[in-house]
Amino acid sequence: MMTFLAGRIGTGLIILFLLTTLVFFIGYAAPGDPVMLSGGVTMSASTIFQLRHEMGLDQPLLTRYARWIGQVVTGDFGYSVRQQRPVKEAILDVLPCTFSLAGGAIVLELIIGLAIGTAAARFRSGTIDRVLSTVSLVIYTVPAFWLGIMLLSVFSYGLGLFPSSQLQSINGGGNSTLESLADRIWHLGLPWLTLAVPGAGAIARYFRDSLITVRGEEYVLFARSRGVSPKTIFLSYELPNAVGAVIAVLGTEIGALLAGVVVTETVFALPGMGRLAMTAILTRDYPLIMGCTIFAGAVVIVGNLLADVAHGFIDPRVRLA
Amino acid sequence: MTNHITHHSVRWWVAFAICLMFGILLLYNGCSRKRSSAAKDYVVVGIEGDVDTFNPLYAEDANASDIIDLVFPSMTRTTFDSSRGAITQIPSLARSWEFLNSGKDILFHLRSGARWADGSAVNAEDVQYSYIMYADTSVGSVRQDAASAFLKSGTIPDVRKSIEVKDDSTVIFHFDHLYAGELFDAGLPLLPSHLYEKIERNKIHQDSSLRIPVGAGPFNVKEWKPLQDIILTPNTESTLPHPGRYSQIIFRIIPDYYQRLAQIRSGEIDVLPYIEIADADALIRDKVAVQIYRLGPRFYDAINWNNIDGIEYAKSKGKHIIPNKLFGNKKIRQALTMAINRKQIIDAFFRSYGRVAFSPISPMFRWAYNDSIRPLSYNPDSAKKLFAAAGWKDTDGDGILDKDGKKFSFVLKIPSGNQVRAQIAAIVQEQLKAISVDMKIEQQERGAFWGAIMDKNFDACIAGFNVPLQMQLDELWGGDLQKSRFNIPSFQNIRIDEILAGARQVSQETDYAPQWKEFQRIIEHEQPCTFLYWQTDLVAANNRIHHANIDALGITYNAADWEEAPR
Repeated sequence: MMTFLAGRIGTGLIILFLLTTLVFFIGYAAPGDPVMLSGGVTMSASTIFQLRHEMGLDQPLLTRYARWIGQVVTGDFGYSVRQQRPVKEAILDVLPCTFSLAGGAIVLELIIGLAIGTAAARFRSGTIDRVLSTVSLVIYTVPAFWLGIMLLSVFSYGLGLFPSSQLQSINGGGNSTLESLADRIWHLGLPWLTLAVPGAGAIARYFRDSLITVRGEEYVLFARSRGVSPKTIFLSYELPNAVGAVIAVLGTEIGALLAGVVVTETVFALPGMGRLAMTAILTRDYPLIMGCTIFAGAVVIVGNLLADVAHGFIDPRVRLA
Repeated sequence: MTNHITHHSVRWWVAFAICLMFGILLLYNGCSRKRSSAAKDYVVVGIEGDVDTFNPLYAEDANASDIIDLVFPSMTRTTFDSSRGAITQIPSLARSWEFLNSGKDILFHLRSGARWADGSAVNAEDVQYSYIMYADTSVGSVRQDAASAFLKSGTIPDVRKSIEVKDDSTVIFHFDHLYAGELFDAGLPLLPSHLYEKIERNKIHQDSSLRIPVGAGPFNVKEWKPLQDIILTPNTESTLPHPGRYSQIIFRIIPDYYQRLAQIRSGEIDVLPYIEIADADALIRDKVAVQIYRLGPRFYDAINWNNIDGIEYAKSKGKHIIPNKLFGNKKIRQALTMAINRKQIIDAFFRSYGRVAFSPISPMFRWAYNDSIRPLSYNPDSAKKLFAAAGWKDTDGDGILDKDGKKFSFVLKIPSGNQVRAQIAAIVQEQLKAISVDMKIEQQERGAFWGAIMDKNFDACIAGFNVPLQMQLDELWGGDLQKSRFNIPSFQNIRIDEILAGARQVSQETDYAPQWKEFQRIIEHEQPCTFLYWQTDLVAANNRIHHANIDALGITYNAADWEEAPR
């Protein structure tokens, strides 16, 4: 298991290095001046010159890259031009929002996906299966921005049941912790749905197919012939074997989830990583772009690693492969 | 069988209880939201993006500057006299002042009793210290230029010599020459020296202890939730001029315009800056409880013709300036303006909120605006004649003018994401096609667009500016293209340079009106760019806000006076 883990971590670090190097050079090759984009129109030429010097924008590209790598190795991600504070601080500030958004969405995605997949497998080849399979295909292909806007139109602007933006109400939604928590959940309701629904479609389809395959396995047929209860067969034989495919899908879904986070946070004006990265890109805030890239890359790599480890625990054949 | 039913019942009840809990949660939140909107003692301003910093030394963002004005003290405050169309300075920390030494010095008498939010007194030392910080190159303030007219030691502004502290309540500003902006430059936000002095100067930029500022103005920054909310509360100790009357002014960051619009309709936000004309009409039509305020006009859009050969300029690093082969001739620029129907564009997009522009001086500055000028009118036939007189004819019958083998064909760059500009570009394209001029449109991402413009790597572009309240146009129209980086058309004219230089030497800005009127005549005659329109910005504000005198100065400049309207 240790060799398996070491191998995966090593590969992950190499990918992260290549990713950040690529983003660094592409980012700097893009036209546009961060000083101009952060209000340079109102500054004199001498002030602009000085700011560009302070940001190191007058240095050769390779010098900037070497300096940046040197800083990152020591845990210093630099200073955000637009936010005017350390990149690390800016990212740490928005992490709770992104984690609560993505975490809640994964849970919801699993609940919806597994429920649809189970029901479809239970009524295999019947009308319910066909309807659920079509539904899961449709929701899998729904773009997150469209879904978000539709949910906003109906449940926020139309029915007034959910807030249309922000992570919390003015003044935190109340005085007690419980009120504050309820307020957060209320604000995250639609964003969770927006992020979870497409992923749930994928999980439903994978889980249905996996469950049907497992149901045809000899050990399930044997258990059934021995008179083991359907509930025990489902929980002890079918679910652990079928869920492996879902975990593998979840690992690959993390990248898509992060992309969805950018859209969802923008649509619902949530203060998370996605919006931070978006703002950084639009204002050419290179240190912040790089910080967000490292973070996003690390999340995808760690997510995949965790999915591999979990899959390995459930199915020892993966560990040996 | 009984057990089976019991298990099913339990599961059913658990599911039902969870659904019920969520239902109650939603209802509870919905009801409390309605309750809170009925009894609001705060104002929510919906803004598009987060601010950069509240440190006056480094703030570049417009919203940050507005908030800084509400939080930090200053010697003077700017007001706008709409009858004269001119800005004036009124007392703030300085209760009065007198001009000495033929106007080159100003003696300020400071108000007593002004205190920083932490209880320390605001004194004359703070005034001198603040300007030392602004001028110090190791601090790297974006407002260094405010000290450019101070007395110098060599070539460097000497703030200690320029700002003389006579006693705790008397300060004298010495300038090295007389100019109209003396009071304006003396009105920068003041810094609490007792807090800033603790930090090494070259570390101030990155010091997190200054993130939430300590001011002496009518409001304190209570909380700054990045990408969410900025919450201001009244500074109960403020005497500059008095504590804010609302219990909170909240700047709510909502990037999407349509969400902000929906929220002003629902009453979630109370002030919506820069609302589109059709949406303002709809709010009035639907009897939403808002009032629409007009700002300015302070914004103009123009088609900037590159007057010089941008490639040659870049190749020679600015040393070799030759006229652009297409736009270097003023007759051609006049013809292009005459070929564009600006009135039609304004009628289509801005109605009564737009006005044909002919120079960078806004009609809101009545004292300087030259209303005797009649802008070139739409006349494609005259435009064709001017082209023909300059030797541009369609010799090969392909529908495009040509001269010496070169076709009159160019690219108009516009920044992406602005639908109005994109549509205007399409209209202009059609109108120029009618006089056999070929124009292609290229939309570029904002960063890439400005990169190309600054490098002078363009034929023509649509770009606009918010004009400053002070008549300072050197950066935009000065002939030294290295210094005047925002002279987008790269227009050079000796008389214009003389007028700009003279404007820096007058004691009263309004005394310079004749020269500014001449400036406009030259610009109108030379047509360095085709000024399209002045655009009046609209702001929607809830009727419940009393004294929301939103005008050319901005949206929240008098937020200290805002209060709940009598019901």
